[in-house]
Amino acid sequence: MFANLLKKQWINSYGCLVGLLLGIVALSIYQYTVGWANSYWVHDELSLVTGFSVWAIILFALALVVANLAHFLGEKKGFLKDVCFYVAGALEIVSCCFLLASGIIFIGDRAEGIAYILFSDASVLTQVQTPANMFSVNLSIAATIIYIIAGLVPVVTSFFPFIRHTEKKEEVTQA
Amino acid sequence: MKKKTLLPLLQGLTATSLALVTVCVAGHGVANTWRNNVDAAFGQSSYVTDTSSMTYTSDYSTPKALVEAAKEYAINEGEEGTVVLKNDNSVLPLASGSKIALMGSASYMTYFSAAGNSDQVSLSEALVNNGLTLDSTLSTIYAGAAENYTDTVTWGTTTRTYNLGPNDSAPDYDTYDIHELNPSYFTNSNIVMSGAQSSGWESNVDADTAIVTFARPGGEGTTYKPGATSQWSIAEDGTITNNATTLDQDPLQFGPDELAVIKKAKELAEKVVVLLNTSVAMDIGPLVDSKWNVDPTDTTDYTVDGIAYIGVPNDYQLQGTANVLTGKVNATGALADTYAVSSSNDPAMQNFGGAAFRDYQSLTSESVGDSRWSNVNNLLSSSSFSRADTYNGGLYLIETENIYTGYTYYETRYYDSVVGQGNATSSTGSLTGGAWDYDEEVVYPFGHGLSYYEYDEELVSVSYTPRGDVEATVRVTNNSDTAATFRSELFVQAPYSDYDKQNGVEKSAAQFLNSAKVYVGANSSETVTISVPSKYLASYDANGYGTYILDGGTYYFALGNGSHEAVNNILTAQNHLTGSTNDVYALEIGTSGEVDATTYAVSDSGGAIENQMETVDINYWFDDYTTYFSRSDWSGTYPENYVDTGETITDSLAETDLPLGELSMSDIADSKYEDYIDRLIGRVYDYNLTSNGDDVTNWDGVAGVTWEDLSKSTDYQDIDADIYEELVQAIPAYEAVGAILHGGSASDTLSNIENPIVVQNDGPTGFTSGSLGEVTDETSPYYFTADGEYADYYGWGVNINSQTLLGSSFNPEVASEWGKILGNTGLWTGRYEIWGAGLNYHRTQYNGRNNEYPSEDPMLTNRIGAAMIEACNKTGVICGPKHIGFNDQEYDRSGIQVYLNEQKYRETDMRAFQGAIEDEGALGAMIAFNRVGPTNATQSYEMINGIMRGEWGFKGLVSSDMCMSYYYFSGPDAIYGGTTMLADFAQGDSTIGTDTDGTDTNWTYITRDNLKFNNTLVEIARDNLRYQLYAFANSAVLNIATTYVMPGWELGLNVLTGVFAGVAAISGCAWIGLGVLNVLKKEEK
Repeated sequence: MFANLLKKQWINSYGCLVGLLLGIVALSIYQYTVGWANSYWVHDELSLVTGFSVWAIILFALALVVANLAHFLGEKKGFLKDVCFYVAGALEIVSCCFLLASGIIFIGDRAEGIAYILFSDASVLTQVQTPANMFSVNLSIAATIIYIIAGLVPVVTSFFPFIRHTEKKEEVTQA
Repeated sequence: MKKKTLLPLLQGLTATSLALVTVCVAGHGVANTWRNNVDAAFGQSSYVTDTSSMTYTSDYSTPKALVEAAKEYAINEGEEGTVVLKNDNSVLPLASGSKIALMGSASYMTYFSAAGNSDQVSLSEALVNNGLTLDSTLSTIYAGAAENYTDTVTWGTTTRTYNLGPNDSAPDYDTYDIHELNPSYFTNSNIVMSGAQSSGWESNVDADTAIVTFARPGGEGTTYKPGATSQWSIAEDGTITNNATTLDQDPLQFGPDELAVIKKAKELAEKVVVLLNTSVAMDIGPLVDSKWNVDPTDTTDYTVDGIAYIGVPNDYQLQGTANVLTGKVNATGALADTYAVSSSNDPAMQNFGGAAFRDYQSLTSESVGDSRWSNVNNLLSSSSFSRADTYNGGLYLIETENIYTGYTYYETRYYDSVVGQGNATSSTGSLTGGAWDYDEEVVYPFGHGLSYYEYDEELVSVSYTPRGDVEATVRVTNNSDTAATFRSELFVQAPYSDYDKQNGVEKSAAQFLNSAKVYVGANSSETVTISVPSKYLASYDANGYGTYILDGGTYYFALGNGSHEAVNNILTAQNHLTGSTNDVYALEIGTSGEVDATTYAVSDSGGAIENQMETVDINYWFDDYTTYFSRSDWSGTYPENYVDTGETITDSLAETDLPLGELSMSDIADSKYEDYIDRLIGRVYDYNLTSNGDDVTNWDGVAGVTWEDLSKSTDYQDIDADIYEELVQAIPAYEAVGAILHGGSASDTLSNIENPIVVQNDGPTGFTSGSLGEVTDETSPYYFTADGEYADYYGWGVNINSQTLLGSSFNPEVASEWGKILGNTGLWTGRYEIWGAGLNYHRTQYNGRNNEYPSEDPMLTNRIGAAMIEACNKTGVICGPKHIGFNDQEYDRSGIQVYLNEQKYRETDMRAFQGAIEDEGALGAMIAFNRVGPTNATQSYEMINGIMRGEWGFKGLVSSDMCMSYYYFSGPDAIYGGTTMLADFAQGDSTIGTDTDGTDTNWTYITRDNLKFNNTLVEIARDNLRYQLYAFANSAVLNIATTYVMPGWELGLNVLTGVFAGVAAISGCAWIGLGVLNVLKKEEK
């Protein structure tokens, strides 16, 4: 059944999965930068980033589950299937927005510190570019990039369905 | 279109547009935080200024006039600040047409105090401008070396580093690596590139005089470490290896490669002049006498004919230096620091850097019951910048040298050695190990500076007015056939009485008071008056009367070319030396043997002066732990070294081998321990986290009076006027506290009062972030464009001052001129507040940041600062001195506990600031980074509210230095202490609780909810803001109404947000609508 389920997945499901996994990675890196004792941003918690990220991850997971709910319930087409796809699509969109907002708020908060460590006067740079600080900067930049990718990939894949279409005949409508 | 294609398309479109809306909204939030930077990036402004009622107007009507005046100032500063220390064989001034061998990499790659304008004048250009001919062989060599550079592009700005230039990065209490091009490299094209010469190149050099420049850099976050020196090496293939050779010498001494340059210069030219491009006094003994060679076994003669100090110049000062070297003007500068044979042997250097408390690990947030934090693990921090998990209080420094820093030590001990008192000639502290001998300790004294023309001084009269001024009339006679300017320095020796000895009141044998310069015609005389407030004759008596006292007796006022000559003149007048002198005026003040403890027990503004700083004395916490240095017994009280205990910290917390001191905090008496801990962790103000009855009574502020009302009020000059109280009571409680917690970049507009935003600027060289033409309000008289009549001046950088040369000018009139230029550049750039006066005294020569401060002498700094602030105040621009409170070293500045006695507290660093703040009413001050005693200086109620406001009548704003640790800086304690802005750089955030839960972004234990239980703190915050608003209202800020206008970038962002939201709404509706229809259709089927 699981193999069958996997075969059913189409591009948007994989997009959601990428968003979910990268969201977890980004959140983990962010949490590491505030939890690691030698981090430049130790204890610099951003409750909005944490909240948005956690919600995004939950909603992505929920979107994947809902998108496949009809399959689990044995309904290949019809009312339930359509409702599930719309709800999953909406959840996915909200998740993307949460992750993108997380990334932007995150880099907005870290920008000053990153600029301080990377672009200060030469005399200051020799003091602040410690291995720990540079590692903190690299982690922050990495987390930002991952946040943005995690938010953008599902946006792109949202142009495609969650589930592979197997019906040969499909209702049509005029645009 | 097929539905199966259309529906995903609509979903994708909805997702994309909503994502873009999210990006725009979140981006808007971030941009709002960085509004000024975003404005600058787009060349726009979020605020327009109404300048119609402007009363502070520039003294210069065009940018051309301003730039010309500024350049003239800078050249004059170079002329007045360049010091001729040595001038044998009439090597100076250099005759026009002289052939010069310009050597030393700093001659070509000079260490400047700012990045510079494009028309910055180099030393070689300046010398050529004055008719000298530079030897082309050497110029070619160094030009080739300058081809080896690295360009670093940071946000569009290119910074060039010359790989073969002098090492312009001073260390953070670490090894300094000397970089100098050894002449042996000159034939290697891999090293000096296109300038490489063939062997025997020396014969091509055609020069009669060699000029060699050596540099020692400085800067924020830098501290030299005594004895920690290395030198680079350069391989045959041109590979540079930094720190290649560890040298057994001091970083202020000349390295082997530098000595090799001197040796070669002596071979190439008949005469040699060395220029000192530095803010820290180098050990220049080898240039004066071979007995002081770095290596005692080295018999090479490195002595030179001439030595001149050029400080750390800025854009145009080197033209002034060249004018001195070529005799275009007389040499009138003087040394603002003592040039000791070995600065590392100074008594103050016995305690430098700091040692750790033995129980530095025992104090955690858990052990001290700090309910605000739960994660502070120790006390240790060990660099110029703090760690993130400590209270930063692990190191302590005891300044046992008392008031005896710089010349006050050397000259007083010399005086006592001649007079035969205080065991002055004992071997304790002697550099040679034998009997202490001034001539073996000092190369050139404070205030030393040679003139090209012979002149005589006569101290005609001195008048003294209690609580008024001391005025000295000096007749200067020019004995030469050339009209020239001459410098006069006034010193005083106050009686050192039995009362002083019994009560530990220390006196310098000669205290500098002030100086002046006068232009005198050939073979004629002029008189000049030197004045200084008479309160500076008084000494602080912490142990007896607990206030300033004036000993009755004979006060010897003396002139002299430097402190040593002044002391010798006093000794002569007292018949301790033979001869006669016209340079001393003896004045009886009071009754000999009596102590006047009332005249100066009240400040100028009427505040009672009494002991305030007992907690800064180590003996307060640890009974009789130290004996402060006293001239009553130079040997028995010589500073004990509490730093080098022989033990170092070995655990992983120490980033370097930190010395482990003798003291443990647990040894503090129980009765004082709690106070000590509260000061250490910033809990003097006990911030309430839960209700205890101190509920805020005025939470949202009582709206009514606004900034506009203040600007129209006639009471704005009276800080006690009702309008100020009404104004601060209009500020909501969470903004009154929030505005103080979140300072640094700019003071924000507060609700109800709608005050203008005031951007803060740096620093001692001028507005480092400003340039002409940046005023964007087309109605402003200071608006001009890059393509108009004044295009040549558009973008001209206005930071053109040199603090080092200001000090060595010994002329408050130069400082006054700089204050005027500084203020006018503020008006022309629309910047009204600057931390523009670095006024710390040089406790030692190892503080790399001495380049921002004028002198080792507090009184010279006091007079320089006062003149600068007086002139700048007239322009309406707020110039705040910094970093008041014993920021004596950059190393561990963010937390080190500095201990000293109250006399030193008041007569050294604080006195350096007193002229600017008390005498001339500075409207701002930045507090030191370090602790004074266990208390973060920014949180020192005693210093800010006690001395500065209570005694000095200071009415200005108070800022912390860079606020990097929220454990070291405590928001409530800073407010309680009197600070009006903590520099956490949270620009655009003037409130508490921008987070959704109402928690402050930085001090996370402060929330809107628990602030409601802290009415006392809120009212103190409002009172602090009263001073800040007063400062603004009494500056050019008052006359400029600032109105928000939506800048183009923000408008564009809003339009984009709207468009994307519209698309999202349409596509979303279509997607859902079609979906619903589809579902219904299926249901029908």
